[in-house]
Amino acid sequence: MTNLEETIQKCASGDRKAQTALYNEFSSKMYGVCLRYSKDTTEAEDNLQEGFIRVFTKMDQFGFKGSFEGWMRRIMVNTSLEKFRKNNHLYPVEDMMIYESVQFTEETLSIISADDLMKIIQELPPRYRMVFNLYAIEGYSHQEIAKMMKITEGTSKSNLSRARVILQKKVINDFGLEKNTVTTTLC
Amino acid sequence: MLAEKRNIDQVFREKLADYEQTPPAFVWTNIKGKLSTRKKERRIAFFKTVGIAAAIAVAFLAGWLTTNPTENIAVLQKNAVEKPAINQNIEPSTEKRADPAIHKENTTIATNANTTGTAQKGINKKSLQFSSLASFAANTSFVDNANLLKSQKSGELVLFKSEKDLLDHLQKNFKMVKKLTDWIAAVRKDSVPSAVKNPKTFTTVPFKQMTDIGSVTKGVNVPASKTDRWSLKAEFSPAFNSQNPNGGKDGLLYVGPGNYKPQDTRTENTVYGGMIAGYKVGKRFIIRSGVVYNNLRQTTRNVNFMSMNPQYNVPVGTALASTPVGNVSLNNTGNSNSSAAVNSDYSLSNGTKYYSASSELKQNLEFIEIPFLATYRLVDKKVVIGLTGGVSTNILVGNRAILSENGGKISGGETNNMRNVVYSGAVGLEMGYAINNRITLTVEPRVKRFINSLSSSKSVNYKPYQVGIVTGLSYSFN
Repeated sequence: MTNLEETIQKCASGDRKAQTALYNEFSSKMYGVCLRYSKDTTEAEDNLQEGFIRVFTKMDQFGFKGSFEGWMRRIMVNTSLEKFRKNNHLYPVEDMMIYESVQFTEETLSIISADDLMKIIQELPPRYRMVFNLYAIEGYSHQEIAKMMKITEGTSKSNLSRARVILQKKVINDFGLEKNTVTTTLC
Repeated sequence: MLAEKRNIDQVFREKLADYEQTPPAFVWTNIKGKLSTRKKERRIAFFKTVGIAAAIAVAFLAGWLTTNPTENIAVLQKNAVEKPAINQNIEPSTEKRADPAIHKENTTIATNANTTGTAQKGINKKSLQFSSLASFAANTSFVDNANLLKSQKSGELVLFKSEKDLLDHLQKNFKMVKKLTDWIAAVRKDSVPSAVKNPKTFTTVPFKQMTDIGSVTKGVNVPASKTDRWSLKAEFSPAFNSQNPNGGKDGLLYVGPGNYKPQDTRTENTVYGGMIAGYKVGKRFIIRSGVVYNNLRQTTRNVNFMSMNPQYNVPVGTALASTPVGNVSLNNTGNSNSSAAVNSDYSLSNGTKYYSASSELKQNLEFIEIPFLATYRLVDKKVVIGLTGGVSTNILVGNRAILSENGGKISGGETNNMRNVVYSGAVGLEMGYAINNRITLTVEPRVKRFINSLSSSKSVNYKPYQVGIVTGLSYSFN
C-alpha cells in the first residue's frame, strides 16, 4: 500500500492528521483549478473549501480505481460548476462568432506569465469561462460539456468561440504583441 | 515551424493546466471547522432518530399493553384447596351474547387468598386483586340481584379474610370496582359458566393462555381493571416568549460590534405542540413523555453586518452580525457600503468590508423537545384540575438567521455557538373537562424556562422564558 493510499484510507475514517497531510499535498494544485473557474480569489477560496469538504466526506466513494488527483480535480470542477449554475441563469446563445485563430510563437509565449493568463481568464463572463476551461484545459468534448452544464452542444460551441475571441484579443492587447509575431488563420 | 506555434487554447493549457498557488491559511481552518460541524449535525440527526424511535416505542408499548393484558387469572384446578370455600354453581343462560368467545365457554373464576398455603406462591399481586374482584362480584348484591347465583353445586369461588379486607379497601377507594362488578354481572347474566367440582389446586396463567387451558378449566375474559391508565394527548400552544431586557450576567449580554442596544432585540411569539403519552400511577399521579416541536424567534434592529478577519473563524464568503443571542454568520451580500475592520476587542479599523448598519435580523431556533412531566390531579372527575411540573431535553434541529433591509431579505445564515442540547423546566396548572369517559379537553397555562444558556459562548447567557396556554385533547385507554 502506498503512502497516499494509506493517507486516503485514514482520511476516510476521519483522521484529522491524515486530512491535514492530504490538504497540504494537494491544496495548491486544487486552488489553481478553482482559480481558473472563479472570478476572483474569494470565490476560488470558497469553492476550494467546499470542494475539500466534499473530498473528505465522500472519500469512501473513491475506490482507488483511477488517479486520486484526477478524482479531486473533478470534484473541484463540479463544485465550481454547481456554484456557477446556482448563481447564473443560462440563456442559450447559439450565434457563432467568427473566430480567427491566432498562432502564438514560443517567443511570445515566454513573455506571457501564468498569473497574467489567470487574471485574463477570470475576467471572462462566467459561462464562457466555464466552457473554455472544460474544453480547452480539461479536455471535455462539447457533448460532455452540454451534459455537465445542462446546455445544448450548440451553446457550448458558441460559448467556446466567444471565449476564444475575447481571450485572444486580450492576450494580444495586454502583451502588446505585434501582428507580425502572430499568424492569423480563419476557422 | 508550425509545430512551435500554439493557438489560444494551447497557450492557456500549457500555462494554466498545472497552475499552483498556495491558498490562504484560513481556508484550512474553515474546512476543519466545517468538518467538525458536520460531525455535530450527524449527532443531532442521531438524537432525532432516537427521539422518534422512543416515541414510536412508547406508542407501540401502549398499544401492546392494551391488546395483551398481562394480568394473571387464578384458575382452579383439581386437587387444590384445603381451606373452606364458598361454592357457587352458576347455570348457563339461554340468551345469546354478543361475544362468541365467551358465549361458548363455561367460565370458572376462582380465588384463593391463602397467604400461608404453598400454592399461593404462584399468584402475583395482580392476580390476587383480579380474582378478588371476581369473587367480590360474585358475593355482592349486584350479582345476587342479577339472580346469577342459582346453585352452589359445581362453581366455586373462594373468599378469605385477606381478600375481604382487600375488597373492602377497593370498595371504599375505587369506583372501578362497581364498574367491574356491573360488567361481570352483565356477562354472567348472558352466559353462566359451569364450575369445577372439588377444586384442589390452582395455578396462575396469563390471560392470553386461557384458551390453552380450556381442557382443564375454561376461562372468561374478565378485564383486569377499568382504570384507563394510558392516555395519548395532542397538545398545542401559542408561546409568549420573553427574556430579561436589561442584560447583565443573569439575563442577556450583548456581544460583538454594534451601536445597537439590548432593547433593540425583541422576542416574537411562536407556537409549539406535539404528542404526549401519559401513564397513570395510582389514582392521582400521571407521568408523561412524548415529542414536542418548539421554536424561538427574535428580531434585532440596527444590526451591524460586516465581514471579519479570518482569525474570527468566519467561513469565507460570510460576514458577522452580532445580537444578544451571540454572533450570527451570514452569507456575504457582496454590496459593501464602506470599509471597516473589526479588531479583537470588536472595535473597528480599516480593511474589513462593512455592509450595513441598519438591517433587521431575524433569528429562528427550532427544537425537538422530549419532556418528562408529572401531573398531580387535585380534582379528577368530570372537571379535572391538576398541577404539572417537569423537565425537558431540547434538541436543536433548526438554526436560521435572515437579514433584511427595508423589508427585503439581503442575506441568510445561522446563529453561532448554539448548543445542540439544552434543558428546560416547566410548571403548569392543568384544567380540563371530560367530554366522555375517554376524551378530555384540557387548557393549561404553563411557564417554561431554559435551565442552561442556549449559547455555548461564555459572553452570552441566554435562558429565555416561554409562557404558553397549552390546549390539549387527551384520549384515555386501558
